Amino acid sequence: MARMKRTNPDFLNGVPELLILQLLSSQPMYGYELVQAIRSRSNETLKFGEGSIYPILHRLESEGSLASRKDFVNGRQRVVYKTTASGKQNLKKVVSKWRGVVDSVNLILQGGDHGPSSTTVA
Amino acid sequence: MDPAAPQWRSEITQRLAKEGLPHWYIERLVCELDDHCRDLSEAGEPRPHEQLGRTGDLVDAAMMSFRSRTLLGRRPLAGFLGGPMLLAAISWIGYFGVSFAMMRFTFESLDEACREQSWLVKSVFLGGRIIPPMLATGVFMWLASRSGQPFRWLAGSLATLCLFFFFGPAAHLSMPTVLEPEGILALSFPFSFISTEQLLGQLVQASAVVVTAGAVWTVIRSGAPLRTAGVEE
Repeated sequence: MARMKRTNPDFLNGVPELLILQLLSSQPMYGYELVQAIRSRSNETLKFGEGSIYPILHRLESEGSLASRKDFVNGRQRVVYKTTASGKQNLKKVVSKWRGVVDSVNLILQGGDHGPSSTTVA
Repeated sequence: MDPAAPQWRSEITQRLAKEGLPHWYIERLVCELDDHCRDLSEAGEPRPHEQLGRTGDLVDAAMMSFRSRTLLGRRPLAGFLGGPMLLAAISWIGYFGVSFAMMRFTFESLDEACREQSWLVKSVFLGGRIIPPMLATGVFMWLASRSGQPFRWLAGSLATLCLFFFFGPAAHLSMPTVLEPEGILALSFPFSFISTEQLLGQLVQASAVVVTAGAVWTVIRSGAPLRTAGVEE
Protein backbone atom coordinates (compact mmCIF):
# COMPACT_ATOMS: atom_id res chain seq x y z
CA MET A 1 0.00 0.00 0.00
CA ALA A 2 3.03 2.27 -0.41
CA ARG A 3 1.36 3.94 -3.38
CA MET A 4 -1.61 5.07 -1.31
CA LYS A 5 -1.92 8.81 -1.14
CA ARG A 6 -1.62 10.34 2.30
CA THR A 7 -4.12 12.94 3.32
CA ASN A 8 -2.45 16.34 3.12
CA PRO A 9 -2.42 17.52 6.77
CA ASP A 10 -2.74 21.14 5.64
CA PHE A 11 -5.98 20.16 4.00
CA LEU A 12 -7.52 19.28 7.32
CA ASN A 13 -7.61 22.62 9.14
CA GLY A 14 -10.90 24.12 8.00
CA VAL A 15 -9.63 24.63 4.44
CA PRO A 16 -11.62 21.80 2.87
CA GLU A 17 -14.86 23.21 4.30
CA LEU A 18 -13.99 26.60 2.85
CA LEU A 19 -13.20 25.21 -0.60
CA ILE A 20 -16.22 22.93 -0.68
CA LEU A 21 -18.65 25.67 0.34
CA GLN A 22 -17.13 28.08 -2.19
CA LEU A 23 -17.16 25.64 -5.11
CA LEU A 24 -20.64 24.31 -4.38
CA SER A 25 -22.05 27.81 -3.98
CA SER A 26 -21.41 28.49 -7.66
CA GLN A 27 -22.78 25.18 -8.98
CA PRO A 28 -24.03 21.83 -7.64
CA MET A 29 -21.50 18.99 -7.99
CA TYR A 30 -21.05 15.34 -7.06
CA GLY A 31 -18.03 14.13 -5.10
CA TYR A 32 -15.74 13.15 -7.97
CA GLU A 33 -16.55 16.35 -9.85
CA LEU A 34 -15.78 18.40 -6.72
CA VAL A 35 -12.40 16.71 -6.20
CA GLN A 36 -11.48 17.36 -9.84
CA ALA A 37 -12.54 21.00 -9.45
CA ILE A 38 -10.35 21.43 -6.34
CA ARG A 39 -7.39 19.85 -8.09
CA SER A 40 -7.69 21.74 -11.34
CA ARG A 41 -8.46 25.14 -9.79
CA SER A 42 -5.54 24.82 -7.38
CA ASN A 43 -3.23 23.95 -10.29
CA GLU A 44 -2.80 20.44 -8.83
CA THR A 45 -1.33 21.94 -5.63
CA LEU A 46 -3.92 20.53 -3.27
CA LYS A 47 -3.61 16.77 -3.41
CA PHE A 48 -5.25 14.59 -0.82
CA GLY A 49 -6.86 11.22 -0.24
CA GLU A 50 -9.93 11.80 -2.37
CA GLY A 51 -12.20 9.71 -0.16
CA SER A 52 -11.77 12.14 2.74
CA ILE A 53 -14.01 14.61 0.93
CA TYR A 54 -17.15 12.52 1.64
CA PRO A 55 -17.12 12.61 5.48
CA ILE A 56 -16.69 16.40 5.21
CA LEU A 57 -19.58 16.67 2.75
CA HIS A 58 -21.78 14.58 5.07
CA ARG A 59 -20.90 16.70 8.11
CA LEU A 60 -21.57 19.97 6.27
CA GLU A 61 -24.87 18.48 5.15
CA SER A 62 -25.84 17.48 8.69
CA GLU A 63 -24.99 21.03 9.84
CA GLY A 64 -27.34 22.40 7.18
CA SER A 65 -24.62 24.11 5.11
CA LEU A 66 -25.11 21.71 2.20
CA ALA A 67 -28.10 19.95 0.67
CA SER A 68 -27.89 16.78 -1.39
CA ARG A 69 -30.12 14.99 -3.83
CA LYS A 70 -29.83 11.99 -6.11
CA ASP A 71 -29.68 13.04 -9.72
CA PHE A 72 -28.85 11.50 -13.09
CA VAL A 73 -25.58 13.04 -14.30
CA ASN A 74 -23.61 11.67 -17.27
CA GLY A 75 -25.89 8.65 -17.47
CA ARG A 76 -25.51 7.60 -13.84
CA GLN A 77 -27.37 8.30 -10.64
CA ARG A 78 -25.16 10.37 -8.35
CA VAL A 79 -25.41 12.25 -5.08
CA VAL A 80 -25.20 15.91 -6.03
CA TYR A 81 -24.43 18.54 -3.38
CA LYS A 82 -25.06 22.27 -3.31
CA THR A 83 -24.52 25.04 -0.77
CA THR A 84 -27.66 26.13 1.06
CA ALA A 85 -28.58 29.69 2.06
CA SER A 86 -27.29 28.97 5.55
CA GLY A 87 -24.12 27.54 4.02
CA LYS A 88 -23.59 30.73 2.04
CA GLN A 89 -23.88 32.76 5.24
CA ASN A 90 -21.41 30.41 6.86
CA LEU A 91 -19.10 30.75 3.85
CA LYS A 92 -18.97 34.54 4.28
CA LYS A 93 -17.81 34.11 7.89
CA VAL A 94 -15.24 31.46 7.00
CA VAL A 95 -13.88 33.53 4.09
CA SER A 96 -13.55 36.58 6.32
CA LYS A 97 -11.76 34.48 8.97
CA TRP A 98 -9.49 32.96 6.34
CA ARG A 99 -8.57 36.38 4.91
CA GLY A 100 -7.77 37.53 8.45
CA VAL A 101 -5.42 34.57 8.91
CA VAL A 102 -3.76 35.15 5.51
CA ASP A 103 -3.30 38.88 6.27
CA SER A 104 -1.78 38.08 9.66
CA VAL A 105 0.62 35.53 8.21
CA ASN A 106 1.59 37.96 5.43
CA LEU A 107 2.21 40.71 7.99
CA ILE A 108 4.59 38.45 9.86
CA LEU A 109 6.32 37.25 6.70
CA GLN A 110 6.76 40.77 5.38
CA GLY A 111 7.60 42.33 8.73
CA GLY A 112 10.85 40.51 9.41
CA ASP A 113 12.90 43.74 9.15
CA HIS A 114 10.66 45.87 11.37
CA GLY A 115 11.76 44.64 14.76
CA PRO A 116 14.78 43.16 16.45
CA SER A 117 14.93 39.42 16.69
CA SER A 118 14.51 38.03 20.21
CA THR A 119 16.68 35.06 19.35
CA THR A 120 20.40 35.48 19.53
CA VAL A 121 22.54 33.07 17.62
CA ALA A 122 25.92 32.49 19.20
CA MET B 1 -13.06 -3.43 -12.11
CA ASP B 2 -10.28 -2.99 -9.56
CA PRO B 3 -9.43 -6.49 -8.26
CA ALA B 4 -8.61 -5.09 -4.80
CA ALA B 5 -11.94 -3.26 -4.52
CA PRO B 6 -14.02 -5.98 -2.76
CA GLN B 7 -11.34 -6.51 -0.11
CA TRP B 8 -10.94 -2.77 0.41
CA ARG B 9 -14.73 -2.30 0.64
CA SER B 10 -15.09 -5.11 3.14
CA GLU B 11 -12.21 -3.80 5.27
CA ILE B 12 -13.56 -0.27 5.48
CA THR B 13 -17.09 -1.51 6.21
CA GLN B 14 -15.88 -3.77 9.02
CA ARG B 15 -13.68 -1.12 10.59
CA LEU B 16 -16.40 1.52 10.56
CA ALA B 17 -18.94 -0.94 12.00
CA LYS B 18 -16.47 -1.91 14.74
CA GLU B 19 -16.04 1.75 15.60
CA GLY B 20 -19.80 2.04 16.13
CA LEU B 21 -20.88 4.00 13.08
CA PRO B 22 -24.46 3.15 12.12
CA HIS B 23 -25.09 0.84 9.16
CA TRP B 24 -27.09 3.37 7.18
CA TYR B 25 -24.16 5.79 7.28
CA ILE B 26 -21.56 3.16 6.36
CA GLU B 27 -23.77 2.05 3.48
CA ARG B 28 -24.06 5.61 2.19
CA LEU B 29 -20.33 6.34 2.51
CA VAL B 30 -19.22 3.10 0.84
CA CYS B 31 -21.74 3.63 -1.93
CA GLU B 32 -20.37 7.10 -2.68
CA LEU B 33 -16.78 5.83 -2.50
CA ASP B 34 -17.69 3.06 -4.94
CA ASP B 35 -19.13 5.64 -7.32
CA HIS B 36 -15.95 7.68 -6.99
CA CYS B 37 -13.84 4.60 -7.78
CA ARG B 38 -15.96 3.94 -10.85
CA ASP B 39 -15.39 7.51 -12.05
CA LEU B 40 -11.64 7.15 -11.50
CA SER B 41 -11.67 3.84 -13.30
CA GLU B 42 -13.50 5.39 -16.26
CA ALA B 43 -10.88 8.15 -16.27
CA GLY B 44 -8.18 5.49 -16.81
CA GLU B 45 -6.86 5.10 -13.27
CA PRO B 46 -5.59 1.48 -12.96
CA ARG B 47 -6.00 1.15 -9.15
CA PRO B 48 -8.72 3.68 -8.37
CA HIS B 49 -9.28 2.79 -4.71
CA GLU B 50 -5.71 3.85 -3.92
CA GLN B 51 -6.61 7.39 -4.95
CA LEU B 52 -9.17 7.50 -2.16
CA GLY B 53 -6.47 7.49 0.53
CA ARG B 54 -5.33 5.07 3.20
CA THR B 55 -8.11 3.04 4.74
CA GLY B 56 -7.03 4.13 8.23
CA ASP B 57 -7.12 7.82 7.29
CA LEU B 58 -10.51 7.38 5.70
CA VAL B 59 -11.92 5.56 8.72
CA ASP B 60 -10.53 8.26 11.04
CA ALA B 61 -11.99 11.03 8.89
CA ALA B 62 -15.40 9.33 8.78
CA MET B 63 -15.41 8.72 12.53
CA MET B 64 -14.38 12.26 13.43
CA SER B 65 -16.86 13.74 11.04
CA PHE B 66 -19.78 11.55 12.18
CA ARG B 67 -19.04 11.94 15.89
CA SER B 68 -18.81 15.70 15.66
CA ARG B 69 -22.54 15.80 14.89
CA THR B 70 -23.79 15.00 18.40
CA LEU B 71 -22.89 15.82 22.00
CA LEU B 72 -22.57 12.11 22.83
CA GLY B 73 -20.20 11.73 19.90
CA ARG B 74 -18.07 14.71 20.91
CA ARG B 75 -18.07 14.11 24.70
CA PRO B 76 -18.53 10.37 25.21
CA LEU B 77 -17.26 10.21 28.79
CA ALA B 78 -19.63 12.85 30.14
CA GLY B 79 -22.49 11.83 27.86
CA PHE B 80 -22.43 8.08 28.39
CA LEU B 81 -21.85 8.38 32.13
CA GLY B 82 -24.10 11.31 33.04
CA GLY B 83 -26.68 10.96 30.24
CA PRO B 84 -28.38 7.76 31.47
CA MET B 85 -28.59 9.04 35.06
CA LEU B 86 -30.08 12.32 33.92
CA LEU B 87 -32.60 10.66 31.61
CA ALA B 88 -33.55 8.10 34.27
CA ALA B 89 -34.16 10.83 36.87
CA ILE B 90 -36.13 12.98 34.39
CA SER B 91 -38.30 10.07 33.23
CA TRP B 92 -39.03 8.90 36.78
CA ILE B 93 -39.80 12.35 38.17
CA GLY B 94 -41.70 13.24 35.00
CA TYR B 95 -43.86 10.12 35.08
CA PHE B 96 -44.86 10.42 38.75
CA GLY B 97 -45.10 14.21 38.52
CA VAL B 98 -47.60 14.01 35.65
CA SER B 99 -49.49 11.10 37.26
CA PHE B 100 -49.86 12.84 40.63
CA ALA B 101 -50.79 16.11 38.97
CA MET B 102 -53.55 14.35 37.02
CA MET B 103 -54.80 12.59 40.14
CA ARG B 104 -54.81 15.87 42.06
CA PHE B 105 -56.73 17.45 39.19
CA THR B 106 -59.33 14.67 39.20
CA PHE B 107 -59.63 13.85 42.90
CA GLU B 108 -59.56 15.83 46.14
CA SER B 109 -56.66 13.79 47.48
CA LEU B 110 -54.71 10.61 46.94
CA ASP B 111 -56.80 8.97 49.68
CA GLU B 112 -59.95 9.71 47.74
CA ALA B 113 -58.33 8.36 44.56
CA CYS B 114 -57.38 5.18 46.43
CA ARG B 115 -60.88 4.75 47.76
CA GLU B 116 -62.81 5.56 44.59
CA GLN B 117 -60.52 4.41 41.77
CA SER B 118 -58.12 1.98 43.38
CA TRP B 119 -57.49 0.20 40.03
CA LEU B 120 -56.34 3.49 38.49
CA VAL B 121 -53.93 4.24 41.33
CA LYS B 122 -52.59 0.70 41.25
CA SER B 123 -52.07 0.98 37.49
CA VAL B 124 -50.18 4.24 37.89
CA PHE B 125 -47.82 2.65 40.41
CA LEU B 126 -47.43 -0.50 38.36
CA GLY B 127 -46.70 1.64 35.30
CA GLY B 128 -44.11 3.50 37.35
CA ARG B 129 -42.12 0.28 37.52
CA ILE B 130 -42.06 -0.12 33.76
CA ILE B 131 -42.60 3.16 31.90
CA PRO B 132 -39.74 5.33 33.32
CA PRO B 133 -37.03 2.68 32.72
CA MET B 134 -38.44 1.99 29.24
CA LEU B 135 -38.52 5.70 28.40
CA ALA B 136 -35.02 6.38 29.71
CA THR B 137 -33.53 3.32 27.97
CA GLY B 138 -35.33 3.91 24.67
CA VAL B 139 -34.44 7.60 24.45
CA PHE B 140 -30.84 7.01 25.50
CA MET B 141 -30.32 4.19 23.02
CA TRP B 142 -31.76 6.31 20.24
CA LEU B 143 -29.34 9.11 21.13
CA ALA B 144 -26.44 6.67 21.46
CA SER B 145 -27.17 5.12 18.06
CA ARG B 146 -26.63 8.54 16.49
CA SER B 147 -23.35 9.17 18.31
CA GLY B 148 -21.14 6.83 16.27
CA GLN B 149 -19.39 5.60 19.41
CA PRO B 150 -18.41 1.95 19.94
CA PHE B 151 -20.71 -0.52 21.69
CA ARG B 152 -18.62 -0.61 24.88
CA TRP B 153 -19.81 2.91 25.77
CA LEU B 154 -23.43 1.89 25.33
CA ALA B 155 -22.91 -1.30 27.35
CA GLY B 156 -21.52 0.77 30.21
CA SER B 157 -24.48 3.12 30.06
CA LEU B 158 -27.00 0.26 30.07
CA ALA B 159 -25.29 -1.23 33.11
CA THR B 160 -25.56 2.19 34.80
CA LEU B 161 -29.27 2.35 33.94
CA CYS B 162 -29.86 -1.17 35.33
CA LEU B 163 -28.11 -0.27 38.59
CA PHE B 164 -29.97 3.03 38.78
CA PHE B 165 -33.36 1.39 38.45
CA PHE B 166 -32.48 -1.51 40.75
CA PHE B 167 -31.05 0.54 43.61
CA GLY B 168 -32.60 3.85 42.67
CA PRO B 169 -35.97 5.47 43.08
CA ALA B 170 -39.04 3.41 43.84
CA ALA B 171 -42.59 4.45 44.51
CA HIS B 172 -44.44 2.08 46.80
CA LEU B 173 -48.09 2.24 47.73
CA SER B 174 -50.07 0.24 50.26
CA MET B 175 -53.74 0.65 49.58
CA PRO B 176 -55.92 1.80 52.51
CA THR B 177 -57.11 -1.00 54.75
CA VAL B 178 -59.29 -1.17 57.83
CA LEU B 179 -56.19 -0.98 60.03
CA GLU B 180 -54.52 1.75 57.96
CA PRO B 181 -57.35 3.73 56.40
CA GLU B 182 -55.07 6.30 54.80
CA GLY B 183 -52.79 3.78 53.12
CA ILE B 184 -49.05 4.20 52.86
CA LEU B 185 -47.33 6.06 50.07
CA ALA B 186 -43.58 5.67 50.12
CA LEU B 187 -41.13 7.18 47.70
CA SER B 188 -37.90 5.46 48.50
CA PHE B 189 -34.34 5.90 47.29
CA PRO B 190 -31.16 3.80 47.15
CA PHE B 191 -30.85 0.58 49.13
CA SER B 192 -34.25 0.87 50.85
CA PHE B 193 -36.11 -2.33 50.04
CA ILE B 194 -39.20 -2.09 52.21
CA SER B 195 -40.53 -5.54 51.42
CA THR B 196 -40.08 -8.57 49.20
CA GLU B 197 -42.78 -7.11 46.99
CA GLN B 198 -40.72 -3.97 46.54
CA LEU B 199 -37.57 -5.96 45.85
CA LEU B 200 -39.47 -7.73 43.08
CA GLY B 201 -40.61 -4.33 41.84
CA GLN B 202 -36.99 -3.15 41.68
CA LEU B 203 -36.12 -6.28 39.71
CA VAL B 204 -38.96 -5.49 37.30
CA GLN B 205 -37.55 -1.95 36.86
CA ALA B 206 -34.07 -3.29 36.06
CA SER B 207 -35.53 -5.95 33.75
CA ALA B 208 -37.49 -3.28 31.87
CA VAL B 209 -34.14 -1.68 31.00
CA VAL B 210 -32.78 -4.98 29.62
CA VAL B 211 -35.93 -5.83 27.64
CA THR B 212 -36.21 -2.33 26.15
CA ALA B 213 -32.50 -2.32 25.29
CA GLY B 214 -32.90 -5.63 23.45
CA ALA B 215 -35.94 -4.41 21.52
CA VAL B 216 -34.40 -1.05 20.55
CA TRP B 217 -31.13 -2.76 19.58
CA THR B 218 -33.04 -5.07 17.22
CA VAL B 219 -34.74 -2.07 15.60
CA ILE B 220 -31.44 -0.19 15.30
CA ARG B 221 -29.69 -3.19 13.74
CA SER B 222 -32.44 -3.47 11.15
CA GLY B 223 -31.70 0.18 10.39
CA ALA B 224 -34.99 1.07 8.78
CA PRO B 225 -36.37 3.77 11.12
CA LEU B 226 -33.03 5.50 11.52
CA ARG B 227 -32.40 6.45 7.91
CA THR B 228 -32.98 10.08 8.78
CA ALA B 229 -29.89 11.42 7.04
CA GLY B 230 -30.73 9.86 3.72
CA VAL B 231 -30.39 11.66 0.45
CA GLU B 232 -33.38 13.26 -1.17
CA GLU B 233 -34.44 11.23 -4.19
